[in-house]
Amino acid sequence: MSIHPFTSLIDRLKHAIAHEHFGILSIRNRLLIAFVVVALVPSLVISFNAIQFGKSSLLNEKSTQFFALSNHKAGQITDAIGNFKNQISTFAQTSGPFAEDAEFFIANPSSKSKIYRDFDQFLYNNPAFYEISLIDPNSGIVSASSTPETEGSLRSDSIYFMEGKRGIFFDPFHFSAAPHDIASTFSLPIRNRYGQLLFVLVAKLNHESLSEFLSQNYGLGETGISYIVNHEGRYVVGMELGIHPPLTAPSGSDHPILDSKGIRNALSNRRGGSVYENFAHGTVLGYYQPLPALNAGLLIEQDLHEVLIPILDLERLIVFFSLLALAIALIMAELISSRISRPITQLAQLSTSIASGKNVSIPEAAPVDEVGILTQSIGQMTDHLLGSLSDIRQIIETMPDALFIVDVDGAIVSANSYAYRLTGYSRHEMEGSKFSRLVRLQEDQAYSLASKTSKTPVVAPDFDMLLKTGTLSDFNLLCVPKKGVPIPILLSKALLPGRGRQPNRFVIIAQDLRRQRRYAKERVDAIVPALSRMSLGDFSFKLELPPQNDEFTDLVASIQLMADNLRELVEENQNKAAEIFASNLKLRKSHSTLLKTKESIEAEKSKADALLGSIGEGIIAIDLRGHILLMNQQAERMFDRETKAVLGTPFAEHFNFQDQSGKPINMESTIFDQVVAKKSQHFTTIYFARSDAERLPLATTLSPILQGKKLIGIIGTFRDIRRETEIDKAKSEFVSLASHQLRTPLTAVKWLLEELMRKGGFNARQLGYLTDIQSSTGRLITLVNDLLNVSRLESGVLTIQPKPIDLGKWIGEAVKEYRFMAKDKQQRIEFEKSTTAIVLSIDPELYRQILDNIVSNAIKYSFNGKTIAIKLVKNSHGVTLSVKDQGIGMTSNEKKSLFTKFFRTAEAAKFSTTSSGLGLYIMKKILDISGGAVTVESEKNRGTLVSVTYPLHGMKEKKGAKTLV
Amino acid sequence: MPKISKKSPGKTILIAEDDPFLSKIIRNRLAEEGFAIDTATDGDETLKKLSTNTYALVTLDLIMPNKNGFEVLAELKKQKIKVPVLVFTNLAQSEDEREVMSLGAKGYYVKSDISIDELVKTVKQYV
Repeated sequence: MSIHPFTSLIDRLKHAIAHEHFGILSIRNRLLIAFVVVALVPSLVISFNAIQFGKSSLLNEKSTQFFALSNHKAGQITDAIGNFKNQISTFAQTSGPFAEDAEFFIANPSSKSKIYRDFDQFLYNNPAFYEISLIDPNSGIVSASSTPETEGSLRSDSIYFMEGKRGIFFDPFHFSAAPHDIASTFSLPIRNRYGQLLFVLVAKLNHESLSEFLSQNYGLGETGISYIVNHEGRYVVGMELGIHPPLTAPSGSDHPILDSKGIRNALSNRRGGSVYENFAHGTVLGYYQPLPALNAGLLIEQDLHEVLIPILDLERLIVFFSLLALAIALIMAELISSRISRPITQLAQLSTSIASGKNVSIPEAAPVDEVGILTQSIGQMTDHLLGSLSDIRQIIETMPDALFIVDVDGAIVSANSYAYRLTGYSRHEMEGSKFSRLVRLQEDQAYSLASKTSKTPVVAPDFDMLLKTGTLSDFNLLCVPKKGVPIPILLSKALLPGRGRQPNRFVIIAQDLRRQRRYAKERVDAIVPALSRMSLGDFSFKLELPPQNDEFTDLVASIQLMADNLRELVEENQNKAAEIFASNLKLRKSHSTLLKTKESIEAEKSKADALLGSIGEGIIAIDLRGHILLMNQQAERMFDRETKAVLGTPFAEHFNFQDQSGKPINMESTIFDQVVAKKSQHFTTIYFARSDAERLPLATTLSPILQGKKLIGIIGTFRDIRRETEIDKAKSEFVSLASHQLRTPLTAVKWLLEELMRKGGFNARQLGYLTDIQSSTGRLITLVNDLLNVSRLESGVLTIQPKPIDLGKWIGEAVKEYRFMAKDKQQRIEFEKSTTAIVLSIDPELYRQILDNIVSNAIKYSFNGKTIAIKLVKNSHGVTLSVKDQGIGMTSNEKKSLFTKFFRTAEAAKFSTTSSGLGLYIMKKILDISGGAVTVESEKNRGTLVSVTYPLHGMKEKKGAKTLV
Repeated sequence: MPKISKKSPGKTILIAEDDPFLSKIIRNRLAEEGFAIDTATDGDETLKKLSTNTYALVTLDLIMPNKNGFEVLAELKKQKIKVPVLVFTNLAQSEDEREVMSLGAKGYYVKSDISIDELVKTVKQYV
């Protein structure tokens, strides 16, 4: 047991208080700093920003104000000039009174009185003008003037003279060497009633009339000035209207703003705008407004300092208030900090007295604030500490070990009750005596290692020295009491560090080992046999717990628990080992199976790769998102793409497929509509425009990849059919030409026979032969036509061009022809149709082929005098045309071969000799490619019913090169 | 002995036909019907005769040496030679018919499908 924690706590508290109290940055100073920072910094930042914002707002506002002001003034000036222009125009109007006087003046140059009277009258009526003159349009000499001294002077090079000859001209003001010559001038021609130019009239404008509008400087403060400025050549000329009269003509250097960069830009662009210039005498804010009517501009300006006066006042105000706020913050901080730091100082003093162990009186601070609460807490803490101190004293007195406090010289300062009991000495005998002498120590022979090896008595260690430096518990020691036998003890010591003036001391605790040794022997004796059985691997024992609960109780229980656990572990491990062995065997087997499977999969894959690579078709597999999964070598060559470049990218991005006419095909929607939605194969011919400009025709098959019923992707097979197309074309052309060549001699035979028979003169038998030849020729011609059609149908080059046809009406027309054909065999042809029109989208040529075939067969194979019934019906499935004959019919076996090439029943061959056996084959082919269907019902010797049905949308359109014959 | 028809005296018909048998049959028969006949056996000859002589009608075959019937029709159109042309051919496709009609022929007939009587009847419709 130690009293160390308590001492340490007191020490720390004391140290902390001392440091806070005497430190440079005491709590009071810190509070002061915090106050100043919190109170002043934000307000300074806000003030600074407010000033900046105010400045820019003021400048903006001023610019807007200048803009409005200059606009207003510019309007006034423009109006005034317009007004003056009207005045002078009225005066000088052609064939007006003045023009008449001027004409008189030309006729009588010496008589100027009329002219002078007109001048005076005009100037009197129009006070805006101050001088008016007439200039000879040829010589440019002033002929007459309201200021007679200018008469005779030359004006031929002045701009107003030159411009005034053509029409009314306004020169706002003019810069020349003589400043007094500056004037705003109107000049205009004076003409007689025949339009002849008599004079140029020049009227100079009194600037007071203009400056009347401009002299007010309201809104421009005390430093505001308005100018009218003009740009002549490279000089800027300005007139300071605000301070007129007299008129001045300041040069650029006299009025820096007139020569400034800003105003030069404004003038040269003839555009209005703000002017902000730094000059040596200060910064000026201005606005330039063009005056197009005057060929000049209006400039207003104001000293920037004057513009910003409100903000500068505000700035001074803010500095003043900031200083005031600083002073208040300092006073407040002082007041508040003194209120907080006083109780803290009291607390510090209190703590110091607690630490020094003196009796203390706890101050009664009311818990009104945090400091009060702290004081109260410290009071409570002190109570607890005093209580703990008395507890510790009690423990020390009653503990079953001897406790001694010894000073650094080894003298006993105090001891507890057990120490007196153990040694047999009284307090009086013990206090002040040497620990080494009073508590006599000698080596414990029974436990000394040294005594077992040597008979020489071991000298007792220098105990005083040992006390200061060594570890006492390393020695087996005996305490020799005042009376009786020595008692074995265990010594432990601890340093009590000196506090303040108190020197270091030691606490020494002596444990009486007699009782413990007895216990230990009994317990160890019981454990040893169990441990030796465990070392032999026998864990099946039961240890008995010691009768008394002591430190061995846990040890025994632990050994028992360990033995039990070990036993279980051993048993479990035996089972596990067997399991592991079994699964190891299984694993080895699976591993070798896996290796074999891997090998065979790799072999299959390389086979599949070789297969895909070697087939002639290009193959591309894509997933449901349209991304490419696979592409074989042929496809790489065909599309000129590398597999690794396109793998995993969208299919539609890479391949620009087109239809026959070159229009792009949306493959994504084709795939979705034809394959994904229907889950069926889709065959089509598309074209691929390669980068080498070659167009590949590709017979394309798009097939769904199905996993069970689930669609997992699409595989596209592309076959380059350039060669096939060429062959087809060549074949088709050959067949076309060949049939032409066959027909030509047949035609000759046919026509020759016709001519022969026309001329006549044959007997019955000869005529019979000729008829047979004619019939055979006819069959040959039919055969040639049919063969050509078969060739076109089989090569797929046939074109289908459906258009809506009123089928009832259309068939009705054909029936008329059939009735003509049926006359020979006295057969009747009936046609039954609904009263409403049945319109179907069909290729009429193809449909006619079908109709011709069925009806001609019906006529051919019906008995004489019978009826052939044609019927047209429309229902929800489609439009059905049926033809029923009463003829030789056929067996169900014969019916099976009905649509094969050159098939004729034995009966039919006998019955009619003019058939090629290709008609029904052609019909079936047409139906197949155009989306129709045929059914045949027949009974031998009764007749046949053939029905052809097209869906409601009619024939499928197909683009091809050829039509049927 | 050919008899002279009163209906169309002096009307000359040019028969453009490379097959000698067919040419002969048509020539004989039309002559019998009272027409004056001239013949040509290839495209160039046909064009030459058409540009130098005046004919009431031309019966034109399509498959002929040197220039075929299509080329003859195109050339006539180009040279603005106006003469009624009836095409008698053994090319039997509707696209051929469409092309011939667009080139300005008055009619298109497949020889193997008509009789010589029908041919004569057709010619008479146009002369």
